[in-house]
Amino acid sequence: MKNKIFFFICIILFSACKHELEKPTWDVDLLVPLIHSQMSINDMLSDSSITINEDGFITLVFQQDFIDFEFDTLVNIQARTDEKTTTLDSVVFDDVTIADTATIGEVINEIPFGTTLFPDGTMRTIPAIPNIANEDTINIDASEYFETMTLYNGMLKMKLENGYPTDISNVSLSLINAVNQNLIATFIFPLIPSGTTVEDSVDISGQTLDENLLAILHNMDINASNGPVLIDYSDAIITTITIADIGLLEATAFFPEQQLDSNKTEFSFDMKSARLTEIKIKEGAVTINALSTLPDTGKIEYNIPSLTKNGVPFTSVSVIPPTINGEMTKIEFNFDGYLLDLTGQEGRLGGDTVNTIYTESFTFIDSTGELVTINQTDSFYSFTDFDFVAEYARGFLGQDTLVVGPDETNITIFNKILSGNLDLETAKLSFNIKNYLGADLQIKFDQLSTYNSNTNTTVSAGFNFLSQIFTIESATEMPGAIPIDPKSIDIELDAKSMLEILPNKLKSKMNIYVNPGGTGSAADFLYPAYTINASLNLEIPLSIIANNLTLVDTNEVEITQNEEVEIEKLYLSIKNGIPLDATINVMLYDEFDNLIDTLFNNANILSAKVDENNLVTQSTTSTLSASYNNNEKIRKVITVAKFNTVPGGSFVKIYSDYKMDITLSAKLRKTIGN
Amino acid sequence: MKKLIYPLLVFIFPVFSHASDTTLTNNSISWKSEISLESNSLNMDFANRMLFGGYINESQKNSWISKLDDNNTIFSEVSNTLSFHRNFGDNSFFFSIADRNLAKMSFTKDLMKVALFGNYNYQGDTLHFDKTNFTLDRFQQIKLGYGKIFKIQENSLTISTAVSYLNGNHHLSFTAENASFYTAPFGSSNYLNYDMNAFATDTANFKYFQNNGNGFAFDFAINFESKNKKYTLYLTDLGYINWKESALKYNTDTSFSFSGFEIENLLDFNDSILEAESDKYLEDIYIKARKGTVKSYIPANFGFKMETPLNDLYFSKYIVGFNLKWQPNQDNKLLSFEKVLQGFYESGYSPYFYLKAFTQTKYALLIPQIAIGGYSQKLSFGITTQFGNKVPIRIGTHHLESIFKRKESNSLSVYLQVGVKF
Repeated sequence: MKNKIFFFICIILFSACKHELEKPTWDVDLLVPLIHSQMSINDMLSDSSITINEDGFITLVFQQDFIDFEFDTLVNIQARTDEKTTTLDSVVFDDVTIADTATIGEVINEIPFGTTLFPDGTMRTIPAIPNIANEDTINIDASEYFETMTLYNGMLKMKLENGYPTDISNVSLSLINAVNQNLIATFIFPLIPSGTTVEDSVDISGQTLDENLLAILHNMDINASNGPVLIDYSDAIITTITIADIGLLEATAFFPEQQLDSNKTEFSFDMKSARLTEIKIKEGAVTINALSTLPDTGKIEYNIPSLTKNGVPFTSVSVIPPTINGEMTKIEFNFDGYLLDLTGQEGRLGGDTVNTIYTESFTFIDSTGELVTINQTDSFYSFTDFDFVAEYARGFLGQDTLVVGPDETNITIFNKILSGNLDLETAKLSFNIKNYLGADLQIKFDQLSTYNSNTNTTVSAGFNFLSQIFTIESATEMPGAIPIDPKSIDIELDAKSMLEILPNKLKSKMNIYVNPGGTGSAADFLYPAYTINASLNLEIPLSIIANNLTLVDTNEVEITQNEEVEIEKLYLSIKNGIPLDATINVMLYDEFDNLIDTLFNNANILSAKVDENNLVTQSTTSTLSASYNNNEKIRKVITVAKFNTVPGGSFVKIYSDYKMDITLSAKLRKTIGN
Repeated sequence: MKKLIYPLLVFIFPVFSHASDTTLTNNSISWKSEISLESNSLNMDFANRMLFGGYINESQKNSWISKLDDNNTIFSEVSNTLSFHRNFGDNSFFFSIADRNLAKMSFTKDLMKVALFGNYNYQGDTLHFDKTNFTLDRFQQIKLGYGKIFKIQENSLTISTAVSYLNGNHHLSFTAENASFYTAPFGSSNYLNYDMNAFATDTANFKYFQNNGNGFAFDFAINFESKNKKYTLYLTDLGYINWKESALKYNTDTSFSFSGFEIENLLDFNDSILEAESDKYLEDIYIKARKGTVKSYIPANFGFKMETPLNDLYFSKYIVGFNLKWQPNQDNKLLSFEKVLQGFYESGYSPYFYLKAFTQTKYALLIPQIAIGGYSQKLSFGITTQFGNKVPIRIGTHHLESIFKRKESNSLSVYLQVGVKF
């Protein structure tokens, strides 16, 4: 029993002392490498390019375009030609001829017992019959031709043809407008022998004619025949009225299709001093602009024999409708790929010319068959606009001086250098100028200098260089995608002193003389897409003496403190294989450019060891340490490094195999079990 | 509360025994619960902190490190056993069911240094983690045994044997045969070299009695009795468990050097480069697991003891003996002499020599013990107290010194056995 009680008590006590199991926590200090990088000079100067010779010696190369000259203004054509106005006085109206026939049969019928006394086909003696016509009216209908017509010029011709077998005399005839009874003209013919024709004309300038005219035969006497004559009732007196030489002030009429104007002319473009014989059009258009107040449709036939495509000259026929509210009609023709001959009309007197085209322009009224009214104010106004961009031009480009600048070219190669001295053993500044023009060029620099805006220091290229004139020959044409074999020139100068001021700008002014020697033996040519290219090259062999040369580099980063791991210290191990001492400052900034922490402050990195020839023999390891205490978000890391070449005072060559081995490691504090 | 437990353990709960003393009863049923925690270096302070939490400060770490040997072992067992023993004439029959939870960890001092302090203090040093092992097993053992007594003149020879079926629930093990870690000065590089094997049973649906493996164990003992002296040679729990194909196996023999994420141009650095590089490294070091069967060994005991009566005023008899354990970390060799040596070495158990005496007091049977070796590899004192005869209750500890050393003690053990004789 006691045993059981003891046992029971023990079990209870055991259970009563049961603890909850929990995880322990403790801190550990870890030392881990974070990042490793092996960098050469090439990596450090990643904004620039370098060349490496067979010995591995590095030359820093900076290249950028220097000038980009445009010549298309020289050969682009924007001109207006063939401007003319055609008015009503140019309109031609055909003669209007109206005829009337009065047979002897009709007269005999008028005489009492006339048909008995003078039967048809018989021989009779006709007696004198005075006043056979007395104020007889004959209707003349001209509505086939016009409705009304006011003339500034015109002749009314009256022709009487006596077909009677006997003479007629004392013929008096008047012509009046049927509507307003205005007298137009009067004709008197004293005698018209049988079988003859008489004519008379009257100037009717200033007269207005209606479509319905009346011819009043005031009097006509039939003279006695000379013995018996054949009575043929079909014998007649034919009266023909002709309105000729019509010059209209205003008319409502049926106007025939007719040419209003014709213009064949040469036009010369203003090419300044250039004398061009041919232009290949890259893109362009000719726009015919016309304004017609004529009530009927007009037509322009426009030809440019100077403009051909595949040997076919340009011709066009364009309908010009009557204007609405004074708006011009524009008709545009695309001339991409056309060839423009600038030598003028073919076979012209005096031989070929330059800068000149030949055009033909014809203006027409299109007859619609409708009755239209035209007056003296109506006109047909037109002109032609040329707008071409040339693919190339040939001829003589003229003698011209192109001024380039004054310009400032930014030099970014030293952008990261804040201060300090840099001695260069050598440095070369060169311009490579490519001439794509088919013309000789001469180049002279009026100004060439480098400028450091931070120190306000300027160094000029010098009088010797600035007084030189450089000649580039004309390019030549050749088949191919780029149909030009350019000629180029390299202009070099020793830029050691110009670059030692660590410039950020290059100031220049350059004159380019086109065809300095006048015309050459071969024709010039110009392709606007390929003119003159120039590039600026800086070559700096990395044989240098750096004395407190201070560089700054800014890295945009995004580093946030990890909540699980606390960084206590950073170590930067640098195995330096480059013969440069360095003192570095590394600052950390937040997104608002506030300084969070200075990681390394004037920390020294030892140079690699060099031999008597200043060649690196051994790398040197430096380890920098920095405490790291921040919870901020780091957005920017700025490194300021001051370099000195080792040994000081001697030029040190930098080779491509010189490297810097960098390891960043950190002491981390982590809590285990948390 | 802990201070109360120790005296209770000493005075109320006696006796932890490596081998059940079946001579206590002819027919008997007994229940035995035992908890033991032993280490040759780490103390109870470490165990308390690991189990019950709290912040581990620098002085604590230094204290623990100072106690470590070059090779260290921690062993723990929690088991409960129900057994039945029946004697009939010269024959005896034995049956038991046990639920056993074993944990063993072997590690070097360098590993604990890195785990507690990190690698910052060991720049320029190579830390060695050879023979690191961690094993967790949980299984049920159903044992069936038989013994027979042979009379040889005036002496008797008892041969007994038993076989066990092992129902494996869960197994987790990690072994690094050779491993080292080097940190360059200022952390410019880290170099890790390791040859590792790890196994884990399926933990997707964790159940305490999940069958994830099957195994067998074997017992054998020879007991020779002559002139009141008993000599016993025994081998117990020589066995293994085959874990099922759902177990995950990880094997790798590699070295890994890390000098930081490689950046082409440091002047173009940003966080996204780190992320991209870390993904690549994680791919490189990712250890691919495969499924397969795994065999693990349970700790076998091999030993000898001699029991001698005493005509002493205080003690009636004494037992002296030694015990060895055999438990290789992995099944990487065929059975051979080398395998045998491997098992003894990798068990982490030093030969255990003990002497215990029996003294009957008015109220209880006291069995004090002095021993050296085992997992603690140190001198230890034990006491067992038995109350009752027909229904004996034994409670005891193998490490009485832990009461006085308290947190400084390397070991803790407690045993309770309740039996019924009939």
